[in-house]
Amino acid sequence: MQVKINFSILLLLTLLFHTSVVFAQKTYSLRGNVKEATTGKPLIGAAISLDAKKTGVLTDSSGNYYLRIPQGDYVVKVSFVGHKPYRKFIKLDKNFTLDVVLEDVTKQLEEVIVSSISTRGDINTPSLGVSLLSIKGIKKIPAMMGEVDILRSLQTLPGVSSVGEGANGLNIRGGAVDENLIFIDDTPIFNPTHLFGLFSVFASDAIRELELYKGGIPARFGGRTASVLDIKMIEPSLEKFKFEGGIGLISNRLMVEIPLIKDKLSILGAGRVSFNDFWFKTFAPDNLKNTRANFYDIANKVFYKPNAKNTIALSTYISQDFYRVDSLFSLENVIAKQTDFRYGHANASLKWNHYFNQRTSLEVLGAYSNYKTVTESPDSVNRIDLKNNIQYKSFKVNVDRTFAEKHRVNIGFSAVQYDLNPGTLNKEVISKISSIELAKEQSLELSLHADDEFKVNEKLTIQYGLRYAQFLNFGTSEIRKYQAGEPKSSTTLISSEKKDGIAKAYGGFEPRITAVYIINPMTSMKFGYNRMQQFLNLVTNNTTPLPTSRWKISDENILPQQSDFVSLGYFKTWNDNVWEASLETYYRDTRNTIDYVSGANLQLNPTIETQLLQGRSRSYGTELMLSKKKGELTGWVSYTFARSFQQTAGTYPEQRINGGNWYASNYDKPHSVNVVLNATPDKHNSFSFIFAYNTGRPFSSPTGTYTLNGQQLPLYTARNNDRIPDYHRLDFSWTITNPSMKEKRWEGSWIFTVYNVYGRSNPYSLFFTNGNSGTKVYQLSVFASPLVSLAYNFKFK
Amino acid sequence: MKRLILYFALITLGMWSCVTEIRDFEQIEGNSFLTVEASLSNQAGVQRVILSYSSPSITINVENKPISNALIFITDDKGGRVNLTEIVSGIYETSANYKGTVGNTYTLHITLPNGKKYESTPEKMIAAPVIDKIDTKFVVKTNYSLSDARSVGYDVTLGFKDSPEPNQYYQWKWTHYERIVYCATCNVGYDYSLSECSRVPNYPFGQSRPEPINFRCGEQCFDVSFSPTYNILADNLLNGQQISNYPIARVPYDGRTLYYLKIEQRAISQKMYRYFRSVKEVTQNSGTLFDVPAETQSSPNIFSLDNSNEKILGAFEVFGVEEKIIYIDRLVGSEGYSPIITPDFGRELPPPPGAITGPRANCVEGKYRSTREPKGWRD
Repeated sequence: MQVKINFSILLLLTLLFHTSVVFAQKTYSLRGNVKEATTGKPLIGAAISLDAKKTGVLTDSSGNYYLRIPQGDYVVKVSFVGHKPYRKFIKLDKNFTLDVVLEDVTKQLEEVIVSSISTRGDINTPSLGVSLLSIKGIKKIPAMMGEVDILRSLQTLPGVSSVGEGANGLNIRGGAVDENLIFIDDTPIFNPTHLFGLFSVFASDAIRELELYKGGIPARFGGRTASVLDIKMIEPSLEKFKFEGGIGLISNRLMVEIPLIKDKLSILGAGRVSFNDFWFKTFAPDNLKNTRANFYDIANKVFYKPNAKNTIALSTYISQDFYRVDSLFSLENVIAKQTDFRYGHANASLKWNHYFNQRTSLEVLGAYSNYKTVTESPDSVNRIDLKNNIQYKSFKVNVDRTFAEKHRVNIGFSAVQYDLNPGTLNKEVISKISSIELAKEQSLELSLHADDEFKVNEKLTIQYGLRYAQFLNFGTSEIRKYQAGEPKSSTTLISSEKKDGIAKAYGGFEPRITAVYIINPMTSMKFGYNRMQQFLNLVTNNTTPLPTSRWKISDENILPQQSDFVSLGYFKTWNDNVWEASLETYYRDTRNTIDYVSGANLQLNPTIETQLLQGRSRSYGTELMLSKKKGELTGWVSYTFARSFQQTAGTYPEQRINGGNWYASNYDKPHSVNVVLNATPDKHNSFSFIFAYNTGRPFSSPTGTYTLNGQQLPLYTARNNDRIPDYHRLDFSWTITNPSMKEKRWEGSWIFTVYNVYGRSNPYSLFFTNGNSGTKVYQLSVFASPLVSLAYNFKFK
Repeated sequence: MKRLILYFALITLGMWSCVTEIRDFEQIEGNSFLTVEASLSNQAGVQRVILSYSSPSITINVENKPISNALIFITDDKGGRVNLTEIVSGIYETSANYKGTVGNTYTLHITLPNGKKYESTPEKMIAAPVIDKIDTKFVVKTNYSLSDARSVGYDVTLGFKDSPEPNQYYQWKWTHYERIVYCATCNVGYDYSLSECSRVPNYPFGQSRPEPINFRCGEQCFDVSFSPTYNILADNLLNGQQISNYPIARVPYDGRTLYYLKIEQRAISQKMYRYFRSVKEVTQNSGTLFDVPAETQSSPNIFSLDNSNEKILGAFEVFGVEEKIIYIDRLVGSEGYSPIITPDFGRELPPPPGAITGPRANCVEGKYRSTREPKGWRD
């Protein structure tokens, strides 16, 4: 397979670039002039090649060249150091003049795929551990099954990983998936994937860019300990009607930008819909024919600019998944014939920006998010209707002011309210199955922050800030007290009472600092430290969280997480920012991370704290990255060394995981290498490759066998004591834009993608079964063969 | 829930995912612990305790090491005491007519030959509700081809009334007995001293080269099979309800004879329910994204008196049980389908001159075979 695919790629490339020469008697001249695009000056010594073969002909001191060659079809290439090469297909049946203008790559308009140096595009800002990705860039790299996927693209960056293909969420610099704060236009996302982890929820057409803070998190963000992923939706054009969309294997997309009042009011509408049912109807065996799996997401934005000093934006984002499966068990201890799952977000934000003057601006923001999951079994007798949801309401005010070019100050206030329903079963439903209503949880996170970017001198800039977060668990809450001196369990529960008002308060300062020292205009060193607090946890002991997993707000029994993070970076650019290299190293220590008692029962558990343990985690690593941002060939190569460990050493033996010793976390992958390359030989063709390698993740491997009830079972005595085999994969994509080669307002493109080109069965996990013939070891691979897909995208502008 | 998700994940990813066996897996470390498998019910019959050290290897060649010469007895809260005697290495039994009484509390005491002492926490015997009704229904699973043994079979379900008391926990077990004709199929003869196929050529009369030969059983013999999985239920969502059509077993349609099935309905403690639940979770892990950490729990109720940190495996299961024996008439419901019969693998040798039968093999009493006719057996 591997050979076959490589061969076909070769064939395609050959067909594209190499048109065979027709032997002919006649010869004609090919002449022309080569100029620099911006200066208009002639380029001396530009090389002319034909059909990828050097002719040895260079331009003279006036930029002119001359060749005499036989009649035929040629691909002419004109190249000059530091400039983007020019290619043209010509039919030489008469004397031909070809004048060429070459563009200096350093002057080329940057279409950043990624930049790790800063969000403002220069090396001298104090931001550290921040990656900026443009959606244009993300769209260029190969997308699995043709679905442009933000979370998957982020995994090509150093420090970003997941437990495996199809995992629901990211692990950033050794953090758990719920330690990432994900915002789409300032509204939080609680479950970032569709199809139980296969695709991320963000409709790519509606997105402009994203910033990932792996460290050096500014004071205006808070609430999660590991990272912030800030996704921004497109601001719809105030001038021009545009639309774009696509048809793919998995989903179909459409996005429109409509200016309603020119230069004042415009709207954006973007949607993605997937109908996967036909898979099941066509391919599935009889008992799965009733399976349904659909998802959609819709993003809208209304952008209003009444005058130059004010802008108002209303963004909404809705995502929904629906599944129906035939199964006997939908809920532990209940038998049902069919189960439906529905879950999704309903988010909205309203933002007002006011510019007082060139130095001072104000931002006022109100945001709402509701993530809701429903598990339903329409069975008449054993009917199940299980709901849970998490609701977020926030109000934020931010003021930015610049003082004498030396200080940029940002001061703000925020109030966030969470309303959590950890689970309601069969409320007002007639069924044999009991009705259970877990106590609701409510909290308020109030915070104040101030941040100053202070330019001490030409060499040193320090961004220092402080955030104070005050957490209040309030409302009608259930306060459960346990016998002192005993581990918390249903038998040591001594009282459970409902209380109104503030049940528990936590608070603390979160200092943030980043500093840049400019060694020379092309080299800088940076330092960063930040403390983060988290008052909300996702409760799940699965390898990757279920979309229906419940959340838990800190209370009397569950302490908030607190994390300290320090990092150091060295940055260098060459050739006017064409090349950029970075080296970052970090250490992170987190207290009160969540772990689970052995055999934890989490669903609909009214005393959830009896199943939870709190421990510590620490991670450290070094990330190296080299990227080329402009030119015909762009991309990056990165190597990461990263470790991530956990320790849960409770007072009682049953509260210790792995005997209370440190153990590698599920996502501890010490070595990883990523290579992303994009070649754009001309306006119509673009080729991309991704290569990814990483050490296999840890898993618990048996240390023997024992018998129980006559069955021989594998014996597991240590957590994550072994590793699955290493992971590596190559992807390829070829985008043909505007195949008609004519400049029109309508632009179509075909994207051909092969995911896992050489079809490696990368293990997701190893597992063990015992039968009469002893223990057998199996490996599960999620995508064990190359996935080929074709998508069509269109644009009207 | 987990099972459903697993199921879903497999079908969604099933188009590309694959499961392959790894044959060259290297175990990274080995551990061995005291393992106690003890049970006591209110059903008359021997009550057994099996003592061993668990095997430090996952290969089949290294087995558990039975522990002989231990001193074992059970006491109850009424002052009673019963001693267990070792019948074969590592297996200890009470007298055949000893049984527990519902409502009493029992404690297991073990002293190993090395002097180490172990004890269980006192375990109360809870009454199991009566099985109201057992249903069998012939069901064809269309996702398998009709030549696949999994396609045709009888679904066995039961119904019972849950006690109005909350926090009841149940466990079901089934046992199937089948009278067998052949006790061994050997290529190079049978070794009567080891009661297994010979490893060196020891051809019976009439065989001259290696080939599969069926040996008739030398005495009455039954194949025994039992539930391979943990079928447990908590009544937290169904308290006090009439529970019906609860799935117990799937009986293969591999013949048209009556099918003997003994069903046990057990009332177990919350502690045992949680323990089995964790064992079940780990054994059902299948490598999907939604697996829970694989972890073997220490015994929920047996502790060392000398070293409270010692990890002990297994449990002292004390339960009340209700039993029902059914015969499934496999001519009913299966009209139009042919049974999937596994043919006998080898051939039978003709009797040597002067004998009435060909070579015979021993019926070895064990986990999967019995010489004793089961309770309620009809031929």
